[in-house]
Amino acid sequence: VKLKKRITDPGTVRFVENYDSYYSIVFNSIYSKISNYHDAEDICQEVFIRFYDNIEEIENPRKWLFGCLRLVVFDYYKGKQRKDVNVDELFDDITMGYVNGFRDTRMMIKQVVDEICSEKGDRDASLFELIAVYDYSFVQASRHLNLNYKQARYRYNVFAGSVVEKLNEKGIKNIEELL
Amino acid sequence: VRDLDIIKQLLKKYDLMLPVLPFEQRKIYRSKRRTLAVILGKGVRNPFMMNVAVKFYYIMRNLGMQATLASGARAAVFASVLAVMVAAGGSVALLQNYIHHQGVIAVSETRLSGVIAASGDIKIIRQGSEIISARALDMIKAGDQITTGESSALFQFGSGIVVKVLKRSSVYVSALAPNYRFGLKEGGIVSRIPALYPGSAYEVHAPNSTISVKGTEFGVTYENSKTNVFVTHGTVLVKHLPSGTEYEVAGGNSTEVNADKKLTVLTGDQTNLMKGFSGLIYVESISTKSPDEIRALNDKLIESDTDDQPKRMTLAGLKEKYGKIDEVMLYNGRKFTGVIVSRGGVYKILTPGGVVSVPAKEVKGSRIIQ
Repeated sequence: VKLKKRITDPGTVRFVENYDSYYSIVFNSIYSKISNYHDAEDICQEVFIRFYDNIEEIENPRKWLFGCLRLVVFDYYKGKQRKDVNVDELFDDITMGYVNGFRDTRMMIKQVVDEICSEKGDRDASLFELIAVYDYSFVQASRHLNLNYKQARYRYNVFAGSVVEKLNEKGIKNIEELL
Repeated sequence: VRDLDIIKQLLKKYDLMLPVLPFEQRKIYRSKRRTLAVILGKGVRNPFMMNVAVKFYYIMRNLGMQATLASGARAAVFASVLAVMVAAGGSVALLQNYIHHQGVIAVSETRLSGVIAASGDIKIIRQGSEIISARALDMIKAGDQITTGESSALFQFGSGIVVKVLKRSSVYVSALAPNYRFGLKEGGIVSRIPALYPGSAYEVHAPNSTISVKGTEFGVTYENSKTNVFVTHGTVLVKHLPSGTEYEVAGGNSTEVNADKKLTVLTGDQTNLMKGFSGLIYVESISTKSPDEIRALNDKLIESDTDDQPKRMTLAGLKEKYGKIDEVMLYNGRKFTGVIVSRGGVYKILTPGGVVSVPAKEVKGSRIIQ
């Protein structure tokens, strides 16, 4: 009875929906920073436990999750007393240290991607990130997000079109010029 | 495709791509499934079911179904029930297969017949007609002709006897308890005979030989701190407790129990002690027997005791011991004076000259003369 109550609870349903959309993104985000699979798994689990506990109050899951991620990473390494990991450095915006002459372009691209991800939200943003940022294949990405291949392909194309559009608005008429 | 390629190239060029290797992607997916089960399973009494529900949820989603966690749980329950049914069905099929090849088990509670507990490749002919589809709870009786096909048949009787009739064998059940007798026409029989109660026996008659077991019959005496064991039938295992020595004493031998394990043939006294004992059989439902049957039993007991007293007595001595003197008259005119100690099929009379046995049919009459 308790099991049935839990899985049919509206909070749980919302949690599972968001979990499916963001777990892989959150995991990849921290994994790409710390390069330790087990630590990334522990941290990710803790982030989503907190997410589940606060599901009723959360309005913007994406923002909340990435905000919580920073806190959890800090707590995690503080608890483990690991001195080899500098938490502040992990979350520094690396664009600030980028000195190869394309810094502004890089910042602009990142800003465009972040903006569209925030606008579109949920699964489409995660799909774009998995494929474009983390180099997932369509098959793997669709699997992670519980989509079928055609859905993934279509959604990604729509999202990519939005990115191109946004870049055009920023004055970049021909993206190939940036390459 | 063009946009995809360009955007990927763009992110790569500006170092915004953080590639994750395919095997890591798969690991992350597994972690995702596992973690969801852990989170939702917290505080649930049966986290295993939650785990299974989550697994089914992802399986269904991967199959392109619009599944929810609740439908995953329902699928898990359905699959569990199905698995239990398949396992139970498989077990039954295996058991049937095993029973079929093992043969028929017959159990007797009454020692007068057997009860078939399972079916097998067996044919039973009773009073000239074949019993159709002999199966569990069917009885087997003395007079049955049992023929096995491509599987052996196992019978078990209440007295602890286990008989396996090998495949492609033909056996005639001549008699069951207390004297089991099987006629082996072809094939083979394997038997396990526990210690039979007195008066019972087990025999297998092959066309050119007889193999019999009469059970175990033995006596024990303890005098002057010495234990003596004497065996008339079967074999007994003797253990000398102080030394822990164990050894077997076969029928016809006796031993003073010690570490030497020395066996000797039965002495005259021991033979006399056991003489007649084998004629005493266990009587079922003794409370229902008639006074004559009880008397006959008592006579038999006395008879067995008298063998232990070969010493001759005078008429006065017999009168003093038994309180009477009988006279037995035979049809041939002979008369015996003494004490009648047994009246069954054979009259046994204690006389001053010794014990006299006379068939009952030769006895014309008897009377008490003193």
